[in-house]
Amino acid sequence: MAHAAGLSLLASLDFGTLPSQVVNGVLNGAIYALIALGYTMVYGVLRLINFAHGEVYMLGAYTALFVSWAYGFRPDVPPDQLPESTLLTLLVMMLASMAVCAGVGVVIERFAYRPMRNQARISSLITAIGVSLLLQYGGGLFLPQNPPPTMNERVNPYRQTLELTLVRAPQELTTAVENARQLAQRSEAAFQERLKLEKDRFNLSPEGERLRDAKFEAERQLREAESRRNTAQVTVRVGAGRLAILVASLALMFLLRQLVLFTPTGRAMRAVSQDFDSAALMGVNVDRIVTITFVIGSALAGAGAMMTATFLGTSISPYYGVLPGVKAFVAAVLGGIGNIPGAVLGGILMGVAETLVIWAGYSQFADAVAFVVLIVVLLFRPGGLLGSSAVEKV
Amino acid sequence: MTSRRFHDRVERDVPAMLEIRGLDVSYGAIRALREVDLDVNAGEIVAIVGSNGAGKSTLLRTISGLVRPRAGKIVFESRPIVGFKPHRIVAMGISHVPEGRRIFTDLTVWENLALAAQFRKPSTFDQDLETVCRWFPRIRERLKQSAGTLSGGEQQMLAIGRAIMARPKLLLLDEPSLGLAPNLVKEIFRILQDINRAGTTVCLVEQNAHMALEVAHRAYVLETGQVALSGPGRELLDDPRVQAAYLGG
Ligand SMILES: Nc1ncnc2c1ncn2[C@@H]1O[C@H](COP(=O)(O)OP(=O)(O)O)[C@@H](O)[C@H]1O
Ligand SMILES: [Mg+2]
Repeated sequence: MAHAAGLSLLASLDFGTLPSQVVNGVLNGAIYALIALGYTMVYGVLRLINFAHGEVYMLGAYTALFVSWAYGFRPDVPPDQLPESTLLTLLVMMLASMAVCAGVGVVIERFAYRPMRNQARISSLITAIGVSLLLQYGGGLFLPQNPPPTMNERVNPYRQTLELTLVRAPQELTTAVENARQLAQRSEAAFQERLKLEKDRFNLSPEGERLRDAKFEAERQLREAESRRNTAQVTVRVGAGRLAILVASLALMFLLRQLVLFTPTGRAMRAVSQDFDSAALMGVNVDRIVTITFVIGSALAGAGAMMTATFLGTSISPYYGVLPGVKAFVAAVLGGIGNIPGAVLGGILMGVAETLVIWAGYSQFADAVAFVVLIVVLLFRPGGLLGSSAVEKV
Repeated sequence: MTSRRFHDRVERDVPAMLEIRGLDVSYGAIRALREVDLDVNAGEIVAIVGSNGAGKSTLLRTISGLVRPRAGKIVFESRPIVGFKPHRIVAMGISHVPEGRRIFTDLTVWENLALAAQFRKPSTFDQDLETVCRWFPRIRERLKQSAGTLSGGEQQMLAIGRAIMARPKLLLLDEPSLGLAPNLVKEIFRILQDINRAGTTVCLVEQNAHMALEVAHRAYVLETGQVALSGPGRELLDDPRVQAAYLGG
């Protein structure tokens, strides 16, 4: 039984779209990675899970939306009067989201977490959950949400779909498709010619029926030939906007890496995350490093929010950050919380896992993937993939 | 001889470099220090000895600003420093080598040293690095290595070298001999004396009292958070009470 079910599942999968799905999973994962970096960096310096991080992300999406309105992409503007969006528009939106998120992150740290820093760990945890709920419900009072606003799709200047053939099908399969297409076109033309002579197109003459069946047969053969060719070749189809997400995320992650590894501030951040007191004894102003960490982590979430709102067209609400926040948190745990490369790896794995579950036809379980991953990681490798295997109590 | 000189100074009422008066420190209900008075004069090596749990680490951590006292004052070069953040106290010239070394094992040896120097004018970095490498030649060979790969003795040298990079006027050391082989302990103490002769005031805490009392100009014995005895290092070394309690004799 199970075996048969497995076989029928396999048969129903469309392996031709698998490469595209993996690529799209990586792109979704890039966003999770950007958010996960904020969780992991804050955990690194404060050993605190910043539950309000998803809400910072939500505020980034609203910021991007408001900037797009300021540019003239308001919902009440008729389509023919919308302005042209350019790369500059996108950059302004992204910088605005990053700046607002950074500010919100700093305020949260200064007024909610810092007073709790010397208290028991559980106090900080409860505070973090409180801030998260405050922003969700407080945001509900002030932010537009009925109907849930979406970014105008024309804000994204990169709307075309890119197709990239990685592995070509053998020549004879391509020729077969070409021949089948010509045959299909010829029989279509012949059928259309015949239709002009028919008195009643819903009650064809025998000759008309013959030509119609020939046309259907030729089309069927074309589909078969295409399917044979598609199975043999690997083509990736991806929206240009999603590719922009990948490029921007990689650029931001590269900047972060350079900062953390090669600047005095980055060195101090690594020192603080390894040993808070010892770093203070070396003259590091730990409060300043904590502030910088919140600035960077929140700004990355802001960039991610701007990109999902703009390129993926999801509708925005005060709860916009809840699911991405949870998934990115799991991504950070999967990679090893506190570990920066781990957050990137975890984010990308989460994105791919989720896309594959949808690809396999279980889209209703896509949001549950995060929780399954969390449970598995906590059971078998609580330190995460790249983290230390030592378990730390929260 | 030197101890005599510093005593003369105290008696002539020159203010000490570090003056601690009536220091009380608690962790919740636990009173770790009570009514501690202590002086460190410029140029001295001062040892604080006492058994495990006596409050030695707490004393150093309070001086560095990691722990806030409940009462009492700490004055460094005529400025009260209670309530200052640790990085400000470091900037004023107090460096603290913590118990258990606490070097950054994820950073390279060079990064450990650079971190400690990056908050001062960078102009003296190369010179300070050279000084540290002269005192600890083994550090020089390992600058590019991750600090986690160092042996225990090398880690202690890095911890001291790192503190020196901040150009302290007063160097606090918490159990520098902990877990080290006897010949390494000797080497470390010899270097500490060199550092002191080069102009840095040293205040060190030891459970292992013998070595500490031998090199110290003056010493304090701490018992359950209170100063039980104080005097020149040599005198304490010969004191029968100290011998019975801390020198296994
Ligand atoms: N972080 C802390 N929380 C609670 N009690 C502490 C803490 N640190 C030290 N103590 C207590 O304070 C006293 C002095 O400790 P400490 O200063 O570490 O002594 P020493 O360094 O002389 O061994 C001990 O009773 C110890 O248990
Ligand atoms: Mg101690």
